[in-house]
Amino acid sequence: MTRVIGTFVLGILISCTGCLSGVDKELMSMRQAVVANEQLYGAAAMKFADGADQMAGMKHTLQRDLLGERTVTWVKDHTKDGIVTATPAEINTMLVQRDAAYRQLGESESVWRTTVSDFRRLVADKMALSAAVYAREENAQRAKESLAAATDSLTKGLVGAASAAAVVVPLMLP
Amino acid sequence: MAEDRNIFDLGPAAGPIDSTAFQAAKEAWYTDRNRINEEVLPKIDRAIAEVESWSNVVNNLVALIGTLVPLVQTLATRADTTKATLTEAKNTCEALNVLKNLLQR
Repeated sequence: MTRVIGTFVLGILISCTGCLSGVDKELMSMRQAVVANEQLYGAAAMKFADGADQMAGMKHTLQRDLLGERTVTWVKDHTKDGIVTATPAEINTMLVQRDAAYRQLGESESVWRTTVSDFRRLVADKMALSAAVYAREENAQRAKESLAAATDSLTKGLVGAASAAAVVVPLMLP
Repeated sequence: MAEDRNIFDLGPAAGPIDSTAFQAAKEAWYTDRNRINEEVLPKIDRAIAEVESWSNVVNNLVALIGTLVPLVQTLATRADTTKATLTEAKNTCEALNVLKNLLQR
């Protein structure tokens, strides 16, 4: 009777382990799908960075073109019949203002280069973190499966040992 | 005065694109990423190593049981034979006792 109950309990335990491994398998499959999805997100984010970079490039080109046009306009406004009418002070003021404007343009380009580069690095680092976490999940799953297999072997071994002991123990009794 | 006007001033559009919020978000992300790398992942690694270690222990137990079971089975066979021999010897002794009693009469 005890053996029947023991076998029944063991059967339930083994079945439960089987069910759990099914859940684990589905979980890992879901994680894998999420990682693949994150790769798509990473690709989209990089494309967005490309688009933003293009827009920022257009902004800086427009800014540079405007400064060029403003220079031409200033020269036209200060020239009459091919002769420059501006005073040295006016020319100096214009050069100072123009240099400041170009400096501002340079700063804007530099800030953008840093920003877009940081964004791309952030996306790459996020992908790397996801890959590192997923690698850990895979390792954990492998370790769990290995322990489950070892426990399964142990259960079978114990069943064998119990049947051998069942023969020996009565002989040892007085 | 027209001369005072700075024609190279392009207004707010000339300034750099505001990335303050992005920089703050980026810093927050890296702080959290570093925390995960320094605190969470090593814990996971240790837990995995522990499970692997337990697997080795269980595998060693399995190997031990694998070695012991044939020994126990041999012991069972030998104990069975010994018991039979002892029973036979006991029966012989009892027969001898009966014979002895008969002879003493």
